[in-house]
Amino acid sequence: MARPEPTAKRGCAGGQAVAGDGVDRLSALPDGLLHAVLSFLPAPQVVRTCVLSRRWRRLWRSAPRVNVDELNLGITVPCSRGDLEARWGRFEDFADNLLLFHDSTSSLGEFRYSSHLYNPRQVDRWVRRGIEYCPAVLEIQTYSFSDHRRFKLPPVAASSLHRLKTLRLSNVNLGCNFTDLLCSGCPFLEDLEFCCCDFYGNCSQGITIASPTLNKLVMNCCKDNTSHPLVITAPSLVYLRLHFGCYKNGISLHKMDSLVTASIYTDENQTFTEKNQRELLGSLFNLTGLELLGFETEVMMLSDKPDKCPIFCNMRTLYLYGCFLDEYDLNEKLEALECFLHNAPFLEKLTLERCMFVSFSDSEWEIERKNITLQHQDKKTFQCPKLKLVEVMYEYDHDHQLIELLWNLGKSLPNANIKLTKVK
Amino acid sequence: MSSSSDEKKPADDAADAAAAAEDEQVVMLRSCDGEEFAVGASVAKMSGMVSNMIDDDCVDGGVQLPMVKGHVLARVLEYLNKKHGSAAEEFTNFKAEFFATLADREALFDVILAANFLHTQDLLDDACQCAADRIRGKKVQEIRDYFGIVNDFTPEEEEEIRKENAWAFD
Repeated sequence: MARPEPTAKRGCAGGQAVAGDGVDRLSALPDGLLHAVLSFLPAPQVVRTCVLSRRWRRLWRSAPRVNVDELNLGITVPCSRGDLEARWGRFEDFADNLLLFHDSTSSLGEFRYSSHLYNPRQVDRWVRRGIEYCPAVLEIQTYSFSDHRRFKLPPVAASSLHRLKTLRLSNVNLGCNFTDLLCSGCPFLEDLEFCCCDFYGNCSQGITIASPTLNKLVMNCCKDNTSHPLVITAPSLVYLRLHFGCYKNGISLHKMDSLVTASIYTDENQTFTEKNQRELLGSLFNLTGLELLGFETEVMMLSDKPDKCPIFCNMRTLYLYGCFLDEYDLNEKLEALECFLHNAPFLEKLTLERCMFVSFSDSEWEIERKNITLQHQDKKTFQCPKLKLVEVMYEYDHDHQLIELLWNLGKSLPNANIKLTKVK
Repeated sequence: MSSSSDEKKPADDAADAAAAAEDEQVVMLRSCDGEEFAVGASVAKMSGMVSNMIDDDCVDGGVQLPMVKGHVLARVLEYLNKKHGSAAEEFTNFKAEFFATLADREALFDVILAANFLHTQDLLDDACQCAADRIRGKKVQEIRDYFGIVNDFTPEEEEEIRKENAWAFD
């Protein structure tokens, strides 16, 4: 590749020596690879490469990834409002210019935006600009101050999302217009992640997330304020994560035929009603690995009819975290566990982390049972022929609850190895 | 020369052992300077380019790689073999050392170009990240010095560009 004769003085070669024969191998890389290198650098530094040499002058403008992050302009999270005002001016200047001068392509690889909601109207403008680039990867993350204001996603044209493959939204308000658009206007959608998002709207049918191509869906701490259940239909979905949040009318899963792994966390604030928890479990029939947090005895019993055919025909691993922490006694809890395991005849590994009993670090907690009797009665063994490994993880042990659990597990699952681990 | 040297490279040993253990197809990769490397199919498939050839069944006579020199291919295979055979934490430690020893600037770019040619996306990402790490935080002149970039702007031109893009400079 011909390079113009250097007319300026060569920069001093002090400090670290230049490679071998002084050839600049970095600049010799093709544009595509230089863009790949630039994609790992913060935006301000990417723009500053314009002054390195003529080769680099306009390179940043055609970079396929645009990442506008206030962190790169000295605005940290958390940030006091006083500090923020001072630095926002510079950030505003930077974002305006970056988006103005970046080549207006209609096929940007990635657009990422992250900032506080100091000036929501400006944020709205920048986000609209970024979406207009028709990115394949779109990530928007906003931070509220204590007023919990959320960023409301601007109306989006269907044509802007037609290349979308990955979408991650954090702290954003979404209406059913947007989710409907995702369903109909994104033929390549694979990866969807909502974190601390609120679904709202007066839709007649509530929010629906339906995509024939969706592979991975994550919903962390989201809230559904509509008066209908949230419906998810994703026949190609391989991974599902529903962690906490609040779904007043529950979540309804359809066509989870391809699902391999699911992780569902619920808490005391009743992320889902008990009925919804059972329904959710029932929809996950095809999966191989399941992780549950906060599920309690009554739900784990699954159904009142013990003769129904097993639900989880493919389940190989089950991870329970903080489950069975309600008021039932150990026998009843184990009965519920047995009922659940009865529905997973091919289960190979079971992990119980901080389950069955609540543990406290306070050593002053009264020990109620100074001694216990572990009875040798005939215990029905669980019908779980393939289950070879049970891992019990605990933090603190009081009242001989741990040994009581281990004893009972040993009797119920005589063919399984039980591994005991203390966690921090 | 058309046959591999007498001294067996570590990449070869690992590859042979892995291939033998699994009784899988072995693919012969030939660098542009004639060095040959026997690689198990599962590792070879980490290269998108070779993977396509395996699927199309045209690897019988070995795969000629016109763009890649022997010593570079050895490094690439070292990475791929380690990635294929190690747990996540072990691989992270290996990666740190692997790129630290690519201190010679020639080698890093050889690897980037080879990874691009072979479509080994993970290696390409890691190598580009390494190059980016060597740019990050440096001032303009420091970057020029480190990589040997020749400044072909006149002082006036450079000043103009800096003014134009003042919003990006401190």
